[in-house]
Amino acid sequence: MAVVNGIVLVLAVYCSVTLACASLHPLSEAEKVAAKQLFISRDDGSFGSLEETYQAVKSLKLLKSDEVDAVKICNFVARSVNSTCGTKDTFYGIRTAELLHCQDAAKVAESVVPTLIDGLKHAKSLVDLYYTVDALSTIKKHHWSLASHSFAHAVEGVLGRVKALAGSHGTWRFAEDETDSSAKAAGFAFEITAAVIDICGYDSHESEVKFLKAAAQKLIEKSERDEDGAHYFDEFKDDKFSGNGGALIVSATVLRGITALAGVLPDGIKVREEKMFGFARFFLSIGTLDSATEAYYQLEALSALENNRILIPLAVSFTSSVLSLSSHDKLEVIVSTVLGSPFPHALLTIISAHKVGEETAPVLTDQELQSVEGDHKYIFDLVSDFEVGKYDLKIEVKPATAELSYKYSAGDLTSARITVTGKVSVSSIQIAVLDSDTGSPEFTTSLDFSKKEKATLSANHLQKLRVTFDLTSPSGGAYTPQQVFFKLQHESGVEQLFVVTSSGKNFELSLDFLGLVEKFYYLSGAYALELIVGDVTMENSFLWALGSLDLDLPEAPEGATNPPAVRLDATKRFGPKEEIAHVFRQPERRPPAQLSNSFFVLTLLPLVGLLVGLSSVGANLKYLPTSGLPLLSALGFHGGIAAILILYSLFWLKLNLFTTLNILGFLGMFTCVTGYLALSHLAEQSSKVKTA
Amino acid sequence: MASSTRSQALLLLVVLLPALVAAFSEDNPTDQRVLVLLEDLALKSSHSIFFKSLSSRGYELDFKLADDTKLALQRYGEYLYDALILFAPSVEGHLGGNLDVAAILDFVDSGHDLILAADTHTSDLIRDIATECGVDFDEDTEAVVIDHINFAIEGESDHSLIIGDKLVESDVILGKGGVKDPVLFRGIGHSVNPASDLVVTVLSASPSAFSAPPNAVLKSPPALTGTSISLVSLVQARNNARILVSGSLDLFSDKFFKSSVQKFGSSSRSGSGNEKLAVELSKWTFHERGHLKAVNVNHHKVGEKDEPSMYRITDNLEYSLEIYEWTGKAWKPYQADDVQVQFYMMSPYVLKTLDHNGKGLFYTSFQVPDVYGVFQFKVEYRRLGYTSLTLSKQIPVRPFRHNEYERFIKAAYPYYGGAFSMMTGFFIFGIVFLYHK
Repeated sequence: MAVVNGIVLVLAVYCSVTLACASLHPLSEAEKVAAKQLFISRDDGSFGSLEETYQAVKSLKLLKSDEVDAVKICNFVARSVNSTCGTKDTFYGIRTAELLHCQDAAKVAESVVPTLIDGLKHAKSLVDLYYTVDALSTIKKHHWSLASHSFAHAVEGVLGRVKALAGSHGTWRFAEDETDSSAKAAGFAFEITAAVIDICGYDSHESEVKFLKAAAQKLIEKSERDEDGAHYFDEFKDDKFSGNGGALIVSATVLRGITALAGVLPDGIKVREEKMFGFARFFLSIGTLDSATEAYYQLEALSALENNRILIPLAVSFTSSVLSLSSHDKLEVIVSTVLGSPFPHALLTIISAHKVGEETAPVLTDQELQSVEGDHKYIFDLVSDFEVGKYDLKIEVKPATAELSYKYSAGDLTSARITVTGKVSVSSIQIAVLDSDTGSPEFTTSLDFSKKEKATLSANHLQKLRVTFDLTSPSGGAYTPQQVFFKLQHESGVEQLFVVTSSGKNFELSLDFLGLVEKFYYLSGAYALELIVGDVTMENSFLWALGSLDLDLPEAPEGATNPPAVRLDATKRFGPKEEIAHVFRQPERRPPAQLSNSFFVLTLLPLVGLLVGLSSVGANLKYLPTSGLPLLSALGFHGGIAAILILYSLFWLKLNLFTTLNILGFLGMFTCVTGYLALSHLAEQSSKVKTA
Repeated sequence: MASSTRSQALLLLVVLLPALVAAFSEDNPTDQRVLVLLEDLALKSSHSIFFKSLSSRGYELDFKLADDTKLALQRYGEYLYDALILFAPSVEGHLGGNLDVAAILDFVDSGHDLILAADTHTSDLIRDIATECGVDFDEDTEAVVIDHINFAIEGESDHSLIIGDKLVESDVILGKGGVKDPVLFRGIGHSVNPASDLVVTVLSASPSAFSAPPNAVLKSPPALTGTSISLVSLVQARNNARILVSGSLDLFSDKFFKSSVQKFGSSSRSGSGNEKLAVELSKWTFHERGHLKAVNVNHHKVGEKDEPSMYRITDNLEYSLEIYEWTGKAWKPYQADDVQVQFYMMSPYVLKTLDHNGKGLFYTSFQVPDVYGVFQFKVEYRRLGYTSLTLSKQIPVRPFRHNEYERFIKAAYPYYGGAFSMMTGFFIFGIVFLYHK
């Protein structure tokens, strides 16, 4: 147990050490393009204020972009910088003019020198001092002013003022009335110091410079470190002198200050390699940036890292981590600075190469990579030693000469995982239908892989299906890919997938349908066969439609599981339904009109018969009373009957039962009375006749 | 006077409040507030193009860390947001402010929209939310979707950066013309219930894909393989809340938006379709497309204008309604040839496709069946990618009245003739019988 613990501990220590100085990857092209897009120029060629313009010009220069219109910006600077503008604008104007080699730079500079020298006395904060002193140092460097010999006198005492603002542990206060000290302010202090030394030399301020150098070393040791080995200064407070804070801007300011200071000191500043790599890792792993200012600080810090007298970290990258054996790819390593400028003077050695997942001896050890002139690449031909697979490489990168190795370092061993791919050959593909009991083949077919042939088979549940094939790696050995699937897809869409297993080169899958009927849900019919073979190291991964199998399985017994639902094409799931029209009840069949009409006529015939009969018997109305009440009552009686008959017709045509009954009541009464009178008169008359 | 003004203001507030906090509402479809929960604030910049596209379309994005303790979806019972974007695949347990699965589901249940992205390491919380929405991520937490044939050469050597080109063919989901360029995907696969009508797989894997840990040795078939692996799915709940579930958070990233794609074995490069896909899907999810509303449902007898209280059997009637689609800015007349109306009592008696005039008015006419009872006009419009329209209006149908039947039927003339000739005969015979001598 203790031993295991010990090993874990050793591993942990080893990891943390390697992590600290493990190799860097340079700023990628994509990140550079993304950064470039953050700087958007205006119509007058500037990028906003003088500060924004300087940041954009500097960043685009570091990104090697030619999207800067130098003439326009020089004009913009000449217009904007004059004796009345503040020290900040003056500083950025002078710096921009320096970057673009503006023709009018000297003229502009001359006009602001008196204001700058005057401003030096009134500068309250470190930031003001920095702008002024740095602007003066730039002007002096380029001899833009006739008064530059007087600068040394002007900056006298500046370092004393800077030293007075020093806090403990290497931090600084921005101004005298401030109580908090910060790392960011220290960055400005170092830059002021560097500028002062630029102007009046190292000797005149030896004691102050020594103090500042010690402070810088103290501050560097105070940097924080995250789990990925990145070093940074973690201050998130904004201040009223220099604006935004945040780890990126603070760390960039400190790094800029320290590298500037190291640049002017005769013996430089010693910073541990781990720290420098930590800073590089921090600025390279910042990720996506939000603003142009952030991009500027990132690029500025990276440029300080690739151009300093402390130590220049080198980044190691690979053109491709996937190498193809069939196209004879070579391992290509690029050594560059953090911003991607190539470093041609390196010695690269593959310390070891292990095949991943195999506890065998390394495939190769101690191989030197060849340098390709002009291409800034280091290549190694893998083909002879490598089989397809994944390999862990450990590569040592060293500057070629001892002299260079004081200036440059690529950190510890570079680890890389590469994948070597090749074309796998597929041969002896055989599909056979076997008898389940005897195992004797009833049907066998061989297919040619290069032609992607197809087979048509049929089988029933008493038979077996056997698929065999060989896979051979490019070097002729056995090869086991990750994905070797044999798929049967029923016409209804239900899929069955089997993993084909191997012994050596031979892959074999045997399906005994008798045991699989339930798995196949008793689905008979056509199955499409597919063989899918794929692996990360296989260049010719394939999906091969092997043909179709007509499978005859027994009927599903009661209670067998139903096949799972198969997903339909989404576009077909919804759609209009079929229209429905109502079928109306057909009217009953009726006799034709002529038939009705003729029967109508027939029904009238008895009436006609009656009339004819009556006229033939010589019907008369001789009994009709001739006068008086009898006539009236007879007319009333028959009129009443006629009225009742007409009422019946009206009832049929329009009247309802209630009106009809009402009227019928009156008519009935009237007819009754008149009928009684009329009939009694007739009876009297007939009795008279009888008696007579 | 002052008190009346105040009470008016109060009334206005009471009337407006529900509109302010409701989800996508047809009355006030603009001004959507979106809560964006991020795992890491770096996502805000690494996915900036996607977020910019949202804010340029008028959404107010409120970025919060997923474990921000002050998170709240609602205050005093009212929701503060209209939609939620959950870009925090690996947040464990519960989100900040005690937002748990139930809170998120309540949010969706009340009609709000959700965009959910998973990634290679997806926590149980995110899986649970997805499962409740009908999307089951692969249970193997190490598994990613791998395709040894359709992968992009830009990706890692494990072939997990796959190219998806099997997209659903639907203009309403993917916008006009669809997404032509291949879509880069790196993440986990999921499966959806094939029988469900509410879930639509937008992007599915190719037949050669499978879902397994990258370096696993496969002894048995993986749980998810081939085209049954869904990569991006959409859910439209019954309350028309919309949910976008993606197995890949990178799909929305600036890197994938801007990256060019070269499929292994192909010599041509093309831009990625990710930006179009992500933007179009967000438009769909936030109801900028495919949200229908039906208004002015009207029916009347042919030749009349007013809606009757009931119809008689065999009446001829006209039915019309107007359907509009939300375009993100305005309601636009909807055009389709497959809107159908049913005249329904227990089962449809009449089912007819509506004609339309191209200006949103859909109309048809038909004869009421000769069956009486209580009927319904039913419009059940369910189409891929559109919100479902379900309208029903009850209307009784009565039989003929006694006086509405046919009079003077030709076939009955013999009966009429018989009756009248008998009546006339009776009258004449009566007179002759009494007065004949």
